[in-house]
Amino acid sequence: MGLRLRVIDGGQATRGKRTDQLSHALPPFEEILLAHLDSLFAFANRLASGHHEEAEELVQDTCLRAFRKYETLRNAEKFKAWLFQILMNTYINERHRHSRQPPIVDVELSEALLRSAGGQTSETPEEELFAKVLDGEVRQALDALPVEFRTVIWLSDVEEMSYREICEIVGCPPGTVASRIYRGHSMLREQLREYARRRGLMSD
Amino acid sequence: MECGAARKLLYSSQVLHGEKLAPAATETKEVRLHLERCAACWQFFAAEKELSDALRKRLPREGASSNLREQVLSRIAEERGNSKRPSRWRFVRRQAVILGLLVFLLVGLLSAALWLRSRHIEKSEQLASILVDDHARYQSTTTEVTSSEPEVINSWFRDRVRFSVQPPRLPDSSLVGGRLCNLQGRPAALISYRKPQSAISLFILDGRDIELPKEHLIALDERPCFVTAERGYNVVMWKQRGLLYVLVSDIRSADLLQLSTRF
Repeated sequence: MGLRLRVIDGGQATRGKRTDQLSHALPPFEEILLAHLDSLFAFANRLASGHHEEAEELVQDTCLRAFRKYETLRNAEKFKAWLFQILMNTYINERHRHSRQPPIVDVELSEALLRSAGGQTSETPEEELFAKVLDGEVRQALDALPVEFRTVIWLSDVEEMSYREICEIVGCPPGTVASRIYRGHSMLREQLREYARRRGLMSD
Repeated sequence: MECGAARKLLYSSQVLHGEKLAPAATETKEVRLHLERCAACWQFFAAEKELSDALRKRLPREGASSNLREQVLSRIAEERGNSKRPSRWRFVRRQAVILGLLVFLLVGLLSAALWLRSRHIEKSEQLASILVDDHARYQSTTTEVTSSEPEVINSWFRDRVRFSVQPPRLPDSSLVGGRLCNLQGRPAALISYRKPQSAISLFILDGRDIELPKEHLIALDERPCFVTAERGYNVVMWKQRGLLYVLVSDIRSADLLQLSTRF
């Protein structure tokens, strides 16, 4: 089984702090922005559920806002999370507030919820499941999730950001982020199984 | 440790995603022990990990188009230009303030110059007024030295004023004498002449700090003369070798000017 568990001591956090304090000089804005523009657009594209024009508009607004606030950034190493946070705020302020979708109800990750997840062992393993669906269906399944789940899954699984960074971007505590990831994963699994069943690759 | 607690601890601490947030050492040990014994939990985390990996591999990360890159850079360049505009505006505003101050200073200087000039006029005219008063009051009748000889008068003033008093002989006029005047603390020599119908007073004083006004000047033999009139008396005033000469009389200004050429 390919699961690697990394339990790291608190020294990492201490070293991280020291690095934060030492790095003050910021590179030219355009230089650092271009290095992260692809990631920014990919995230915006997922927020916009694949609507390119909307995503591009979102990226442009984000870049302008980031440019105006760039001097407030203390640490260039945090640029990506900072940029994504601006994108998230821009999205929420300018687009999401017009949405008629009711906000999701967050539930904390509880022991009872996780304990009940034991049934997964009897279902199709993930590798087998993903072999039965198309890339487009994976993307479609993700885009079908409420944006709150879609966001944390993208940041965690695709961008491989830490909970700490995700918390800053979405403005939620770690417990909520973990809960959204877990629930988002469950919904994705269910949706992918549905796609596989529709194509006759999986039985009920 | 129960399955729920172990899963929550590991999930929340993002061990699944390689996060650095570590549980406390004792809990870590307990979780490790639990995972070694619980196949369900191991499979739970394995499934989560596989899903996470599969999503990373299967979800497309479409990059920004070259058009978007250009648009972003263009808008930032534009914004950069706009952000520079206020500083340009500040520069213009600073220039305007400097210009305003210069204009204010210039107006101030001009006003001061005009005021000083008016003070000169005022001073000269004030002096003329005082001398006219003196002339009208005494009409050459009061002298401290009475003589028709210029040398006598010159000699009398020698110890009384710091400058040399050399009264000329004037045509159709007789020298009467002289006296010492005090014009607002300033010593002056008064020489009195008399014509058949008129008296002429000649005042001589230190005129180094007295400027003749630019107006009402008549150049006579390239010497500017200030000509004025007050209460029926004509006044002709000029400077010569640092001394101020003032002729006051009720004779015509032209005649007074003619007399001034005798000095």
